[in-house]
Amino acid sequence: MVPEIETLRFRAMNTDVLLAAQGGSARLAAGLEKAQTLVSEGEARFSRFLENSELTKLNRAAGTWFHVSPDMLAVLTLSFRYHHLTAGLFDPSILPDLRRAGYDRSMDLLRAQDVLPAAAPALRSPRPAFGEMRIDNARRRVFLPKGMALDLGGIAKGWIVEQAALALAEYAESCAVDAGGDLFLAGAPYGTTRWPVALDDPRRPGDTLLTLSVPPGGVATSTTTKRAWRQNTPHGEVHRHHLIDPRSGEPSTGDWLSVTVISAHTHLSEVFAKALLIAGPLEAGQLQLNETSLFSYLAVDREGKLAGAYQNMEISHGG
Amino acid sequence: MKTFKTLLRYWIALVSLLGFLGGWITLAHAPKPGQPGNGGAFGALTAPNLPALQPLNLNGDANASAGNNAGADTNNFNFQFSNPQPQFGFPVLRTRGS
Repeated sequence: MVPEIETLRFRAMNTDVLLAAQGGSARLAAGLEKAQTLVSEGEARFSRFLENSELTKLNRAAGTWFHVSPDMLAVLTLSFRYHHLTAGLFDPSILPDLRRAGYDRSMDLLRAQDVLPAAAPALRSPRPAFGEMRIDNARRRVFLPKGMALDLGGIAKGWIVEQAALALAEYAESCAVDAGGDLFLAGAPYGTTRWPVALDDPRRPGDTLLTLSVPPGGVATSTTTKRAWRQNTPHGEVHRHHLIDPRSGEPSTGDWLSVTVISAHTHLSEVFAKALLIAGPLEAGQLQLNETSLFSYLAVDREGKLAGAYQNMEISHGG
Repeated sequence: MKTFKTLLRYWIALVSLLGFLGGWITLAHAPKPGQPGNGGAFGALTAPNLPALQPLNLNGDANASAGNNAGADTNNFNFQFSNPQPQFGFPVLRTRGS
């Protein structure tokens, strides 16, 4: 007999969240509720758009030591590690550049408003390097140099998704948590060993490009086509997106439209999808070479061609 | 007596020279520290064999290298393209980027 499946859908972190669980526990509903609570708590802690979030308070406290929660300490420690693993391409301290590019309010608000964000200042103001952040594990406190402000959006979302899925997995034989395409898959659907995951076509969001079969773990995709807007600048109206290249302080301009990564962790997939997209086809090989045992990736370029860790191929599978 | 001392000097010089040359030859032919296969203490430090990297599987067989179903398998993060498989009621999962 096929075990029951229960699902729960709600909106959080400015995206649609899906919780799905299968398995013999009569307490699946309790597991779903617990996972939803974790997502809500995570959003309240890590959002840069909420006035009273822990992240907002941490950013305001730049220049002084700030006591942080165990969750914040965990995500900041991961961020520090990923910053080094990606040779600086993952950099949460690009928040001033992100605001300068127009992403100064939540994406829901940005999309709801039919007006363009205010024109950006022409010059990039100097800011401290992310490596100058100090973490005092013993006293659970963090020091951001004056002028530093963090955006933990992607990595925090991946971390929250994974925490929620692990909590839900205590009540289920298998489960999946999906937050706007950031997935954590625990176990596998009844009678199978892998999960089918549809990959959106970045050229036509909403259309399925192909279906991937992936093992349990974390899946994430970064794209330049979804969180995008147009902005007035001194040079006229320009296309903007949320993936800032920390080397230039501007939205990245690589040839790839999206990168999907699978690994053991959603936060790892999220970070490397972003770093690979910024790196582009010329530099991605170095990232992959260094961290090849950690993940696999699949990139889609402007012409719809796929690039993976080791080979290129034309699209031959529809959705 | 003088002859004896002279002979003794030559004898000591000769034995020293032969000893030096013998030591030189012995060391020149001995295995170097850390050289593979010398069987000594340094032999235990040779690197273990690393598993070969797995290329991406793009051939469309969804079950060819099935992972375990208990959790994440770090050696199995390869993509496979597949036709959508029945998931016994699981909603369709999509990764669409953020």
